[in-house]
Amino acid sequence: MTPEIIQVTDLVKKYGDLTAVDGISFTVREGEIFGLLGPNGAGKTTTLEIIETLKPLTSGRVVVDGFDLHHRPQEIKNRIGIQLQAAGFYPYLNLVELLEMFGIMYGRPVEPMELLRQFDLQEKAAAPYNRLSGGQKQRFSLATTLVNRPRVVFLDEPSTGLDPQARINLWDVIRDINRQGVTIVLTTHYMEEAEQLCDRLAIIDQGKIIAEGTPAGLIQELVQSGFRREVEVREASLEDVFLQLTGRHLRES
Amino acid sequence: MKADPRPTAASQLRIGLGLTRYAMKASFRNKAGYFFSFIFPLAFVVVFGLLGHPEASLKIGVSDRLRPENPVYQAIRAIAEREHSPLLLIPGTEAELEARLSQDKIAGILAPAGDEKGSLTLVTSSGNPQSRAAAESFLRGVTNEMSLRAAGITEPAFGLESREVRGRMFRFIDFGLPGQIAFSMLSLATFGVGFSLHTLRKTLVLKRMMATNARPITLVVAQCLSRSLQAVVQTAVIIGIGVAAFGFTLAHGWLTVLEMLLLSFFGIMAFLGYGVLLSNIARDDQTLPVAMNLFNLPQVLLSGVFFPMDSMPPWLQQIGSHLPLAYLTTSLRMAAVDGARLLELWPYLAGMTAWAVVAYVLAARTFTTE
Repeated sequence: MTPEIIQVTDLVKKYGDLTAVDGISFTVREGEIFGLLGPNGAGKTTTLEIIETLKPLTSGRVVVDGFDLHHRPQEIKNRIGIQLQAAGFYPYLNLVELLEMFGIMYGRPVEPMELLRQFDLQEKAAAPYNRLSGGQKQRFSLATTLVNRPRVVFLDEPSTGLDPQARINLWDVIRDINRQGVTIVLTTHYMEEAEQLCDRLAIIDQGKIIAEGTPAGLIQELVQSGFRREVEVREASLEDVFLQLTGRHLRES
Repeated sequence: MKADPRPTAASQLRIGLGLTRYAMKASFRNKAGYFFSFIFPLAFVVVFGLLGHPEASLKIGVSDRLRPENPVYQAIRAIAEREHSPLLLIPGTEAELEARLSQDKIAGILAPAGDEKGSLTLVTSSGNPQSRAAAESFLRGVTNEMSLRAAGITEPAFGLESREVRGRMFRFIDFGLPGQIAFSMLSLATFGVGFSLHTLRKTLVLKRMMATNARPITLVVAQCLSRSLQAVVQTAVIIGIGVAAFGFTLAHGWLTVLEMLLLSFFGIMAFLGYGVLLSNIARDDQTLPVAMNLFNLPQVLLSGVFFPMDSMPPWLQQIGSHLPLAYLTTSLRMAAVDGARLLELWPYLAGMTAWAVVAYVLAARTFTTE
């Protein structure tokens, strides 16, 4: 069995009387793509931000790559890459300059053009972030997570707001990063995304994990419990129609 | 894998200087940012420059009932026709002239007196005692001299000799330019830094930094540093234009320019704490500009930027003269025009420091990354 790169034990986060995260425990194995699924407000983002060292926890224990969050947060910062939900970048700077700036913040040299090439953005090197298309923005955002050569990358709703083509492209990019040996933890509320992309996932609701397993395993469990879809299985979905008509290639100016 | 060292003061300094370079690149590309902090003050400098200096002239209306052969009128006319004469005669009907007098556009009206000896009546307004006194003393001088001459006295027994000490002419540019530099520092510190901080929070740039080796406050310091350097460049350009186009007074030449640049740098450092503090307190797009205007506008009005503080009631002068913008405006003016040296200006520097300490303490306490 592959070693566990993240261990979360009895994690609790309270805001006054409100319990946003209510005793969550899960593990992420090295090299996998792990998904946190759940409706809005379930506590996905809070859980992620605690592991990312951005928010203090109320109680519980988090270990990333062998380092305890409580004692060695800086070691964790150096080992992770993060993409925040709906985040932007420093204004009036182009992509190369932004990547160089991240290099300064991590105190290590970067090769901006190499990173941009990896994400098919070399032609946009001199463009500012706000001139990019939605898909390009997400790809650039992924590029910035790799500046410090992390062992784990956290992505908070990476595909929100993208058209189907850009979403499919983004999945490929995420799989590419994963193939380089980087463990991926992402949140999503798109079930298709979770099914296509994640090796394992946990479903969170109201601050608690209500199910955990592989996508196929969870479906199997449900079917064995006697569940049957009310509608008959169609041979194609509307998304299939859309992609058949408009093609799967990426639309970018 | 070998662990990176924990962040130290030295590493933060290195990171901060690196980030300052990028912050400067960004702020020089921000065209809209120039408007309030540079184009605006520069436009006012040009206006002050074009105003030149206040005219020291005496304008007196002449009634159309006054006959040209009147001897006193002739003598006055002769004075008015001399080269560079400060006296300006404005002919017109009495009704017309009285209207101008009541608007304070002329100092008095000359009209024929009731008698036949050639005496004149001077009509003045009670609204402006200063110009009334000027008109009266001028005309009395003319008539006295004529009376003495008529009596055959060419060398009066008693006389008053007046001597003028060469003084510096008051010019609007010398008053206005230091105020505009100070105003520009205030705008850069509040609108410049305050709004960018607001954006950096909203786009989660500061939050993202928390997961790096840099502390978010390092980026704030880098921003402040880049704005201060920008401020010094802008000050130099404004002084350059003031000197080249309008002959702005520099008491000790290049040394004064250097002193003004240092004062500007000191001033913006004092204001920057308020830029950060305001963006900490006013968290949304609507309240932030309101908060900044509430901080800036009273200062611009009360600190002697656009008009001298002397023209305000004493209690208001007391308040105005202790505002941070007044400390900067007055010290810049004293350095440039009166030739005061930096050390002599210590009370103003101390005043700015006091305001700055308050701002930085409060800003540090209220700072958050989101």
